[in-house]
Amino acid sequence: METYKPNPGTPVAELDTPCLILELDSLEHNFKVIADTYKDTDVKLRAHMKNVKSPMLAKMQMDIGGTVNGVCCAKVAEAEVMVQGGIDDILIPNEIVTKDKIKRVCSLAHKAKIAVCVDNPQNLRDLSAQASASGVTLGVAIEVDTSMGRGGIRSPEEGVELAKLATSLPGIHFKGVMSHQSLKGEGDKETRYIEGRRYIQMCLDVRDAIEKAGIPVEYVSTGETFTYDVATEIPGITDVEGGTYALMSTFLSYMTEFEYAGLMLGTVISTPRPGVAIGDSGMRAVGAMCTYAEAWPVVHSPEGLTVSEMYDEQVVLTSKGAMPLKVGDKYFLRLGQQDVTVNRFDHYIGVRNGAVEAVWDIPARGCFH
Amino acid sequence: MTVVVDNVANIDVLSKAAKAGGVTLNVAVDVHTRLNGTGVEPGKPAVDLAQQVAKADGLEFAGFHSYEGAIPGNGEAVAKESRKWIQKVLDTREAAEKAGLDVKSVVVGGTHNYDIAAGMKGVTEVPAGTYALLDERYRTQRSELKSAASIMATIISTPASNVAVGDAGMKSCGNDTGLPGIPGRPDLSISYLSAEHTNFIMDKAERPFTLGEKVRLTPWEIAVTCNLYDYMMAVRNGKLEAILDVTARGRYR
Repeated sequence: METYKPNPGTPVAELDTPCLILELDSLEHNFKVIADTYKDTDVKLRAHMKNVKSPMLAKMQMDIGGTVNGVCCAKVAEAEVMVQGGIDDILIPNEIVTKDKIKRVCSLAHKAKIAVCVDNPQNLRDLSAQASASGVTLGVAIEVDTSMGRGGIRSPEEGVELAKLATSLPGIHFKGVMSHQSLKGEGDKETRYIEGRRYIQMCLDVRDAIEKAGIPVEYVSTGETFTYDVATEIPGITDVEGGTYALMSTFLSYMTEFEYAGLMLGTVISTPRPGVAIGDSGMRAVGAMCTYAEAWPVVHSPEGLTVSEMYDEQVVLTSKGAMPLKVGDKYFLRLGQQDVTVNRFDHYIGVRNGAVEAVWDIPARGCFH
Repeated sequence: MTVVVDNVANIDVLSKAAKAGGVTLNVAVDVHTRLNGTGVEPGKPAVDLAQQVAKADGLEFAGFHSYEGAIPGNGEAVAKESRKWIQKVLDTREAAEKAGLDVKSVVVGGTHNYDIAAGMKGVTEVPAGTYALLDERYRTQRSELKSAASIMATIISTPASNVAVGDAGMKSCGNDTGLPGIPGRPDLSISYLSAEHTNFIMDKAERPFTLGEKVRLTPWEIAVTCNLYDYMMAVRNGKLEAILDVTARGRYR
């Protein structure tokens, strides 16, 4: 466990690095965009905790508004952290299949409204058996594969069969349908609407088929930051599972309404050649797909610098003209796959106006089981 | 305690700090070779910097260090490329000795060329690390070593005959530089990792995965994976023997 906790008031220039910075003004701005977007809509945000891994940040968004007053969690361990942090409505948009994990999910259902996803009848029966034995009711949503080619049913007929089974089993409350997309496409709203709508419609088709079979569908949980606004124009969606919007990612750089709240702070440790500065924030701290240059971090400040190589513990920054950074200078990086980066830190260093305001734990770090 | 430098100003800072702390710091000169990272150029620039270290109060000149990076390929290709870069550091050593410096150490190489480095006169240390647990990146290069570490995943979905989904993704494998392998299953492959999932391709599976089945994955780069876990589960003969803390996890600073 890393225990770096600089005192409030410490200037950014004096921070030890690499560290994960939360620009608090930007974070609050992003939360406000969500609150405004969903102020008068039927669809609301179910913020994804895989991105921020903190019940405190979940509650900040809930307080500012625009949410279903619940969250989603990628893993059971993440849900345990959220329930212990006081969150009482959780959807795990994932299949839970092992005996141990099913027991832990049922244990959580004593304290909170818990729903999990299914794509397999035997798994549904296993969940029912344990929920009955534990004396709880588990919410269940059917996962629909739309664009990922991974978990999830492949046809409306499969959905109807599973929904029928769900409504017949003890200990199970059939909630609805869920699908995840991971869209990074190009940006104007019209393009995003067309692309997002295509996948969301596959999920809505399953809902229609289930309703036609006489089974009420409480929720349709789908979408992500990419379609957070598009979803308000598609009737029938109840929850949007957005997460990236909070800290922001270079993958969605065209969504200029959101600000880069999550940044990596680094220090220059070497300026070995003209136009080159080596920083101390390498792959180990930043993480994810560094074999692809498009996944590399992007220099946030100072302006005009490029990330030209990533090593385990170092990043190579280059400038076209004279390198403005000297040994010991600080720089900020924007993140690509930012949830992977968050998972590598134990604390957020919360900063406002160039100085530390607070240090917050990331209690769900490492909760990938 | 030994640190490396590639910059005169840094020598001054270290010297002042060592004197103030009442200690002597060993300082080696970082030499730029194959990678585009840190380091002063080999030969005269490195020797000049070494002389600055030797003159500085509170510092003891230790020698030269260079990391030439993971060299891809097998056998003779790795040997040839390794020797080319290591020789530049050894030539620097010779020049430094001629200039009257006492060079105690030359630290070069890694798991991919530990034996090659050891065979070059004048190399004193090989800072290899991957050899201990091994990973996919070095497994094919280094058949004398065994994979000691793997990620245990569970199959959570078998949604179509040619697809299985595991519960280990980017966050638990670490795909900074490559995808994990599936030991003992050449009939299977991984199409991609998402943040929380493994996507297995089973088109050519001799025995398809079943729901709930445990799967072992061998990380592409073990250093990344170790840094994600607070514990390692030590097993022998298929049973848990001990749980070891990964105490330096997250120590980036």
